[in-house]
Amino acid sequence: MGEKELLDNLTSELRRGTQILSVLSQLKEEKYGYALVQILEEKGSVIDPNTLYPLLRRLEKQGLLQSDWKMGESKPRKYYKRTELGDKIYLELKQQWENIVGSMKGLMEEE
Amino acid sequence: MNESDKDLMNRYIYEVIRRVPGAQKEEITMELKELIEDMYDNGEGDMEAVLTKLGDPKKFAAKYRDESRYIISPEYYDNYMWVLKVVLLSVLFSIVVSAFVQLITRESGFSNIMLALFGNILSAGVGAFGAVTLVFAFLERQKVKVEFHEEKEWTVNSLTENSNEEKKNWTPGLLQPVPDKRALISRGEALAELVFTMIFIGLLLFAPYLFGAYVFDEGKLVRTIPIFNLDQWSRILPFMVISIMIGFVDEIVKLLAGCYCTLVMICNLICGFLQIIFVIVMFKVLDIWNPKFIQDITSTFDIRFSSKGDLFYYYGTGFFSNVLLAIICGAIVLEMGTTIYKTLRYGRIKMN
Repeated sequence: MGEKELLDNLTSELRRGTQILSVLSQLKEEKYGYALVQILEEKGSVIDPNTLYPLLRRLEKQGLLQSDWKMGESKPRKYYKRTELGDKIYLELKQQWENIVGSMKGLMEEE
Repeated sequence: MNESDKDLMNRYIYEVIRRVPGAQKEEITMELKELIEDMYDNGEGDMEAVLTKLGDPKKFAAKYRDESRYIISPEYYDNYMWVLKVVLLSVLFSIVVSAFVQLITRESGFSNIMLALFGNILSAGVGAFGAVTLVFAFLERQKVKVEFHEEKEWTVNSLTENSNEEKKNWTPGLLQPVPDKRALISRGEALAELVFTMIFIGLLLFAPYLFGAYVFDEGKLVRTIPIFNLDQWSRILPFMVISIMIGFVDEIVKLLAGCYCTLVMICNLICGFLQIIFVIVMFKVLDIWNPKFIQDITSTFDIRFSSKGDLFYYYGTGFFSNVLLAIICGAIVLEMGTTIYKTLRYGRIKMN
């Protein structure tokens, strides 16, 4: 395994843990899948559609998101947004995230 | 979007949805259609570029499926493969033996025997494979339940708490003591019983006439006088095979558990009990013995079983059958007793 490949693997592993949080953060208002892909990309948190779509379904199954098929501009689209449980979990995850950032910062400043 | 692009898109969607569970197919189709059209309309390139970006449909589908689904999980896989090999080899052995005997007795032509040999190997191989897989798949699902059941320890709290969540929590308290050496079930022991069982089943299926008296003429085997009632064989055989298969399940449970424990004991008791019922049915309800056996023996070998000291004097009478029945049931009860003893004395038991 080359150095670049190794780095890519490790980076994507690192990002994987943040995916749920980034998806939840954007779904206070309802959005359809591809719009979410674009927004996340714009904000520098790229997530592949073949990861995002199954993830949305899973979060819905866990009760964090709810979905609704609506007629968009020209065709039916599936819109997702956070449920009440989703809101609650998101806030708690956000708190966890801040703790992690804080302690990681502390760890890496020792270098 | 032109026709060929649409066709390409539909092919891609089909490759994904044929790999996801039935209930989700319809909605995932709609989702993918929405996604691909959005990407295409947004100018992410032509259809080929869009689909390349989405990647291998197999991997896409895998992400849609919930976790892993198996017939045989990795936890059981090694044992499964091992039992499978043993069973297939044993079945092969008994088929070859029966073909060999047919060759010697020249019951039919060489080519016919060879043809039957390959046919039997094929059908028995598939059958044995199916049976082993079925047993393991069944145990796989039962074992999960049994473990769940065992882990649940009753406390006052379970009256108020949601016990579903509670029993999944692992604590070091759940660690079981390393089993006593005397409670271990060796693989060799299980292997011997499996081989014996499978060869017995194979011979019963393919060459039941081998159980009986052998008639030789000038040093060559001419025929056998079967001890079983082969005229009624199609009625008797299923009972025999089922009863032996029950023992087979018991063996596999022992093998998987690896030591005497509550699970092994309960399974052994149930299997033993069922086997006794089957044996009684075979001996008491079905005519398992060849009614012409004695007649055939006396006329062929020109001997008489007139003395009361001869075992065969009692053949065909209820006495002969009863003695055998008692011996078999005794053996089963003895096995049950040994299991209970070893489990209670050395094994892992949970009292709850």
